Amino acid sequence: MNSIEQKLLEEQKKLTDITAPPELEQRLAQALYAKQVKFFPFKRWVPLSVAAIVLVIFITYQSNAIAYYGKKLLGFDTLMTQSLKDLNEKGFGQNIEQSFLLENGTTLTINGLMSDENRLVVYITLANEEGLPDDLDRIFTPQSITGFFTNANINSSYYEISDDKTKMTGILQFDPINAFSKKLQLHYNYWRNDKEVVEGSTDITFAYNHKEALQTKIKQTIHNKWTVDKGTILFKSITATPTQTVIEGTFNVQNYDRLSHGFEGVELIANGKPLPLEGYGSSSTFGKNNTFSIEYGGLPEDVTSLEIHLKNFIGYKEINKSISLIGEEKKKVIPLENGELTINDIQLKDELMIRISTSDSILLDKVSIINEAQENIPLKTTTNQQLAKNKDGTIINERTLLFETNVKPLELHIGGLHYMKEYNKKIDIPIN
Amino acid sequence: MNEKKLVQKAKKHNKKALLQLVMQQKDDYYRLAYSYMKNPHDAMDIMEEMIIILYEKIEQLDKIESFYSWSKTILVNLCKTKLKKQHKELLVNDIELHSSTTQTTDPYKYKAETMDIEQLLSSLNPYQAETIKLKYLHDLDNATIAKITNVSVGTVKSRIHNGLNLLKRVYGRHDV
Repeated sequence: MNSIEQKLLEEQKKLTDITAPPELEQRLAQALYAKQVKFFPFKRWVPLSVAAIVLVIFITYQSNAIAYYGKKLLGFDTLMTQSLKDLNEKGFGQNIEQSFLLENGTTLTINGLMSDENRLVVYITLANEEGLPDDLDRIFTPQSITGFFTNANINSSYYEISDDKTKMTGILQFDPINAFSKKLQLHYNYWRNDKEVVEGSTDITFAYNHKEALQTKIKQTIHNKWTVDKGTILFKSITATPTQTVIEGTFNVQNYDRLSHGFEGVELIANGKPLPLEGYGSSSTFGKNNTFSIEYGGLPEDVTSLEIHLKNFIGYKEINKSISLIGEEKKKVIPLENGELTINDIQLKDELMIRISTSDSILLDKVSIINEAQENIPLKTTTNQQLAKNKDGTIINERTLLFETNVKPLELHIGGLHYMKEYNKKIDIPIN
Repeated sequence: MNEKKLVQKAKKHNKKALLQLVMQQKDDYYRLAYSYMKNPHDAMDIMEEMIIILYEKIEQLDKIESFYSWSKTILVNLCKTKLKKQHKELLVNDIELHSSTTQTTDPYKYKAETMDIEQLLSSLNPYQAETIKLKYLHDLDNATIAKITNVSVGTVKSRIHNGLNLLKRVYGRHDV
């Protein structure tokens, strides 16, 4: 081989050190999948005229919409949940960046929106060079968003204030809005002269572009009925959107509201990992079939498996336990089903008062005492309830049991327990 | 899955198949784009443009087996169009860039190394230089080069022949 060809061969070898960067596939896939190519089997003038008409309609109808562009929202990182963060990284959502002057000189900027079938999320910034008031509701308490067939109430709001108290970023979450809304109006309250509440000016109107809003990924019925100790839970449907996953259903559980843990022991597990629980809500428990909804973070992009895990939920157990109250020791600890009962103090005046504490996931039922006169005195009431946090983060519920007797007690009798029971039931949700 | 089946699928607007086809020779495409554009950013941009054009035009591809030469032709043409727009010089004449003659495989030094060959090739006319690069650095066959450079196979052969002869004389001077 002559030297020049050898030289070229060397160059070729060097060239093989250059390899396509790993992100190439991602970029090509994005370019390709973003491309919507229409194939017209018609003659040439047909697609051209169609394009012309579409263009005219588009420009006249959506002239506002052309101004939108996708962009990351900056400065909301610490406030966002992980799913929102991920979406923001990818540049989802509608950018607005429109500012309004509020009553006292504070500027309200609507930075952007994300919306889907579960909720509307609005990103805002409040700024005032003279400093923002400590109580924000004096100047701005968001109430609702209205639009075409839309009246979305606010569900939650988070704020973060800058160190010098001149700037505040916030994330407001509203009920979902109608996809055909073109304009949205933000309603808020504020205080005038600290005397009267004023419904905020109606000038805060901004455009909404459903195309940039996110589509529902999965909406699926589950229809799976589970029996718990004191009733049933029916999981009806799951709605998964990029920002949130919501499980809805009905339940009829007699002792549901005896403890305040609700549905927090229900996990949604995607690809083997539980999604972060964002909250849950349930309707009043007076009726028979009460509704509930549990909210989790957005699903991962490729869901291979999805299951609901009823880790724990309120349960009930008959224990018929008698505890001797005789003896001098001040504190008495009695083991219970999933925790313990501590008797802190016993006082006998006009009434008998027994100060007890348990974990906040235990509630005693059918409590009575037997006194020295061998009378069975039922619990009159519970008073002076206090919640305290333990060092390990568990919450202790301390309260005083009142009995109408002035005779010395012998025994405390506990008929049953409402407690957070470990059910550990799982159901698979088939993925279509 | 073999190439033919993928091409057939891609012709039916199967995006995944098309992507798979390109990814099978991703390094070749990338090197080709890189050697024209001289930076990874433009190289990737061009490849994005390429895959969209492939998607739109793959119906027009008659010979299933010539997918790669067809698509590379498109890639090179895109590079050339873009370079024209950027008013960039395809060939480098800046003597100062010609610094290193040591052998190294450090990819970051690639630029300096290629300047070596660019320097050599700059003594050829641009057509000969391009043809030789495509032939020897990118391993393309004469027919594909002919398509890319829009000339006959005969012309390709003569450009290679004349180019190599010229190089031998120039290289002889360098190779002291």
